[in-house]
Amino acid sequence: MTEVKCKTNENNNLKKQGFYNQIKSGKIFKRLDVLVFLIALMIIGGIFLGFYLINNKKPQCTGVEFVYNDEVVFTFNFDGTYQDNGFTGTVKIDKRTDNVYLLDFYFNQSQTEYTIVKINLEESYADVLYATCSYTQDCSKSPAIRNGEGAIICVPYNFKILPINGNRPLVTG
Amino acid sequence: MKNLIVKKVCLAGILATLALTAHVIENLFPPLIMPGARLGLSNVFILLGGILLGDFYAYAILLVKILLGNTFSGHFEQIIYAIPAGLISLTVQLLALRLLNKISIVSISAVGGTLHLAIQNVIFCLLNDAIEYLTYLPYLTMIGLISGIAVGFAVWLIIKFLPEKTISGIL
Repeated sequence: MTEVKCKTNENNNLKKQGFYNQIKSGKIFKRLDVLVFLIALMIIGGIFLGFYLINNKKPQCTGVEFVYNDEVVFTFNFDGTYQDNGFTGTVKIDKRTDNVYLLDFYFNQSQTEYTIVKINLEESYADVLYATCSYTQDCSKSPAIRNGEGAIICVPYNFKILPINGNRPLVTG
Repeated sequence: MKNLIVKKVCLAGILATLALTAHVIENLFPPLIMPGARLGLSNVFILLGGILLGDFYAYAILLVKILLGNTFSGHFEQIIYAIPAGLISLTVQLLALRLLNKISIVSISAVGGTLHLAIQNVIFCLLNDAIEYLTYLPYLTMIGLISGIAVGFAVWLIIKFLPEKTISGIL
């Protein structure tokens, strides 16, 4: 039994020594690497193409909806209309220009937890400018929702901004 | 025999500490281009653990990094995405190490990096019920590929220039 265990350990050590020596004495790139990278790039290219084709077939984006605790609490259309569907916090809407709106979503009464969203009607995009959720600001680093592509998710506040791609009726408010 | 295990555990501890430090430092900075996109420098030490110490120690370093790293940086929710993504990508990389005579460590790490971010993105979408977030999958896989190449290159450099006496008695 001990002999078998010793042999297994010996084999494992030889295997590791093999990995180490192969990297130590080998070149940084080997011939088959080209094949590996080609396959990887083809798969990534395929994913890019797939998403491009899917997005091309999508109906036009009509606005964005705001989901808080898994419920659609607010909807903003790219024609400038909006509807509050029962957001428990406070929403402040600031019309900066004819086409640019700033929406401040306050999640608590003392208004210390909030997210500021910029909406541009002309370019049909929504973007998080600032949020108090975490110091890494993942949601404000997310790419903007543009032409119905993408989503912005704030995990700490369980707050999502999702595009409306024409499959739902336009709300007025 | 006991001496060898002690040496291995010590080296695993050092690698886990380095992985943890790299992870925490990386988390202090905002993501590269989009959420979830990071260089993943801690993977250098996990892959080194797999090469120098074996599969068991590599998994141990990975789990230490994910559990303690995310606890220290306050991103508890990331543990749910990081564990399956880390385990799958590490398993693929450890299996691919058997092909080292045909492909380089850079390729192995590139495949691991791509898989890691792709799986993390899919799990994030499923858990948050936001399929729209999948639109970032192509960009994240591309970033994963590039960061995997960087990690693989770093592992190759470390093994190439690490004096053999530092790990004598372990291999």
